[in-house]
Amino acid sequence: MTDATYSLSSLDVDELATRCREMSTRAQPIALDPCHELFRRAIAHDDQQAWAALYTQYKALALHTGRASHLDPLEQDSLVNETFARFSNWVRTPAFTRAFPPMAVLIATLKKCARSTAIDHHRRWEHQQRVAAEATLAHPQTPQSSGDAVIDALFDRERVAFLRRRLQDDAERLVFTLSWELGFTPKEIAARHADIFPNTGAVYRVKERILRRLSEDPTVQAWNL
Amino acid sequence: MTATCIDPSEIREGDLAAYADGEADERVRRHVRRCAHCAALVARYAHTDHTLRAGLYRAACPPAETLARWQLHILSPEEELRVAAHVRACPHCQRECMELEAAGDSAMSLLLDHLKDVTSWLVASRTAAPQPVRGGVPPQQRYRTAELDIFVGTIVVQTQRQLRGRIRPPIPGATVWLMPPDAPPRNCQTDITGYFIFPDVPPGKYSLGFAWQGRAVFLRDVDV
Ligand SMILES: [Zn+2]
Ligand SMILES: [Zn+2]
Repeated sequence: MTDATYSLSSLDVDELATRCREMSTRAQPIALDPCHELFRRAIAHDDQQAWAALYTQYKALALHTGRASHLDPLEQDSLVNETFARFSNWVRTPAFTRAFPPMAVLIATLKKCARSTAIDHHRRWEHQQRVAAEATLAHPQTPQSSGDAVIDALFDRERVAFLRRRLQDDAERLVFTLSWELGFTPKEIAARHADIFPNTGAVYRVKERILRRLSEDPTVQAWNL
Repeated sequence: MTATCIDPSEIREGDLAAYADGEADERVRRHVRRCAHCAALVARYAHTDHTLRAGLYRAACPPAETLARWQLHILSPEEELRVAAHVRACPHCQRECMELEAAGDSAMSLLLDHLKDVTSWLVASRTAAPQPVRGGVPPQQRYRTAELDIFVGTIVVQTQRQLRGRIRPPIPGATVWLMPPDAPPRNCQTDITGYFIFPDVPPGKYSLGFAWQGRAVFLRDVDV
């Protein structure tokens, strides 16, 4: 360890945060990185003050990578909070703690974290849109009336397993997965699996068998959309 | 529901599911208009279809957080296998994996925005020994993937710098994106021989992207 790293590790978090902020406005990175030291204090010593300084320093980066600059302040905060919560989880795994990673790896990981958080947020939003759209299609006369009954979450494992147990062969399992879990149209399914389905009609035959069985099932009928 | 169909010989299995999707032909549409039994079945199938669409879409997909952990190799071995098998089969997760890969690379992120239908994505690696190629492509830089060679080079024509290149084996009609570090991207198409050209390219380091039929190849640090 050099004298200079000694001097960095002797600084308090406030001083480190100030130097880290100053450094990030310089064109050239310097060899001794106060930002890196902040990461080290936060991760290796679980220093809450260091985490708070990192949050302030890298909030903009998380928002930029998560493409969340257009969100309202509350949503932005929730995205950044979740990003840092994920990040602190990830960097506690042995892959990170065996040898403390260089700055480039920490930043790349934080960016990946921000992106994954944004994607998960987007998926939730997309799901809500989808549920609302399907509910409107399922009840064209009373678009808003089924509000209370709308499924606001995806089917859980038990429901999916329940449905899967009602499938009778490989073709049905394939159509089930491709149609409803992955969202392909029968035309796309026929094109992807021409060996199994010679045309779109062949997909519809399987799909109709599944729909007939499930729509006659009292348990499924009770899952009102 | 009316007890029976007015004429079962007019309707085949699959017709009503197609009708519920708005994909039935005139024969089926005429029948459903006249047959209350089949009309009621169509309504039931459509309702079940909507319920399944809302409840199942991507229900089997691991969260993006898990996809990211998978890329970082911080999942348990069993989980790793499960995620790998899912991603192989799921174009949505493939797409999100690409977005996660691109998180630290603004050129790649930008290119992905332009390539909404791409689900298969490779980063070509630069190889040290360029091979001479015929056809006017200056053999300065060579990139490879398992299936492709991409040659790119700069040539000065009447004081104007051109970036030229070729994909081998040729992929005609691929869209080629040229991404300068601080300017909007430009694009062109490969010709029948897989050849492409960007006129008037200022010197610098560029990223290049090639897209065709849902696939894309990305080249980093191309020197012009
Ligand atoms: Zn009928
Ligand atoms: Zn998936």
